[in-house]
Amino acid sequence: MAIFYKNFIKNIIGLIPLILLYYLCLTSVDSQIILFKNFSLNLKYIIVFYWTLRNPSIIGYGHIFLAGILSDVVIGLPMGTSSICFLTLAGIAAYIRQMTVRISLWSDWIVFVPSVCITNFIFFILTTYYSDIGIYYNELFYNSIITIIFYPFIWIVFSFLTHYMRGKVA
Amino acid sequence: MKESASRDDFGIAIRSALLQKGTKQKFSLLALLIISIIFFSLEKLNTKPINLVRAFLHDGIYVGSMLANYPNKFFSSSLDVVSKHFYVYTENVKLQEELAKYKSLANQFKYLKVENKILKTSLDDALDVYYNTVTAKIILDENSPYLKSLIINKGKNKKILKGMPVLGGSSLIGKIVESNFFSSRVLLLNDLNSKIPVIIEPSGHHAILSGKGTEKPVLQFLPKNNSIADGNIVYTSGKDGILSAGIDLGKISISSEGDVEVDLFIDPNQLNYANVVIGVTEN
Repeated sequence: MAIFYKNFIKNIIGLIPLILLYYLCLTSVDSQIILFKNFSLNLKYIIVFYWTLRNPSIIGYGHIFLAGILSDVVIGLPMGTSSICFLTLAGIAAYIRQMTVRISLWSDWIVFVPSVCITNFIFFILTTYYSDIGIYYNELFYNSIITIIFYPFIWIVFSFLTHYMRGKVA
Repeated sequence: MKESASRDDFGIAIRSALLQKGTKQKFSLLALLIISIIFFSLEKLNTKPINLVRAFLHDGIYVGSMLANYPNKFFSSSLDVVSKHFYVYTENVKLQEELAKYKSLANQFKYLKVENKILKTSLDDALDVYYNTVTAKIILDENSPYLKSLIINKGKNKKILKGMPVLGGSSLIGKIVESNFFSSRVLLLNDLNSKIPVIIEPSGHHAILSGKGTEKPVLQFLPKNNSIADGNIVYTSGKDGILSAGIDLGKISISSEGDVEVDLFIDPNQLNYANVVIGVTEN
């Protein structure tokens, strides 16, 4: 019974990032929370980047792809746009995971900046040249800035979750 | 020697990141990226089988999204109820003042209605226009940084098609841009992609109402020496041949910077239901 309970809690906690990613993609609630009058946050980028970098077994690439498709349909973007962006971000995170040995908040934060820039550049290219949808590019820019600024705070929260998961696993 | 070793490391890291499935990964990143690009390319195709699959997929995802949004809606409506309780007294005083104002306006309206009927009869142009509408529930309110749109719970099953105007009450709030079997997407007037030909009364100037992502859309292509003033009413002109003419949508509000903005009559975020105009009957 104790083992069952332990495994159950472990599974539930392990699913939190995945549930959160799907929830955010289905509701876009993160982009609707307007901070400082007109700025919003892209929590999905942080989730994809952090968990691919720290523990890729928590959110698989298949889930990232599917979450991107859901996000596109809900927001109204051409299907595949967010998937391409999320997978690009995951790819960069996977590359950094291969190249680095010791992970710290500073190193994560520093590499998160170019990763978001590259991802949003791809998003810009896809929406500008391959679709008819007009996008508020200044809002996209502010969204990227806020996402980068908020990364350390979310990183701390996720680190607690990681430690807790490791504790439960042990 | 050192350079070639670092190049090897780079190659290995790239290969590992893109091709290796790793722990618990069922798909490689590269394969999923290719699938995503295929999905993206298919969006451009407009064939019947693809549209059919797309419509089913959208319907299903909208239902999932609606279910996921229930906690949000419950939380925001509870918060709204609590905050409204604090303003009941001041709101009541304000409403009483407004009621007195509207009572006097109602009398004026009765007189004008009779006068209008007499004038119309004399002009032999007594045309009454009725809109055939379908009322639909708003299941999702997408106020994202990218697009300002609503999802309604009716689609092709109720003869709702792309381009049809959508009313909130009797005022225009947007038009249908995507129609699935059981759901449709409404592009709101304040969205960047929304451009609607309008006419301003009483001056009769024509312009294009253009969304810019903020609460108030702006008027573009106005004549240089126009006589537009605060409070003038904006109607659809029907010049695009898609939207019906004469649907009111807001009143003019000239900003401090001199931009001619339109204060919309209806705030779409406050709506629970919308009326889609599926046809017009003229008697």
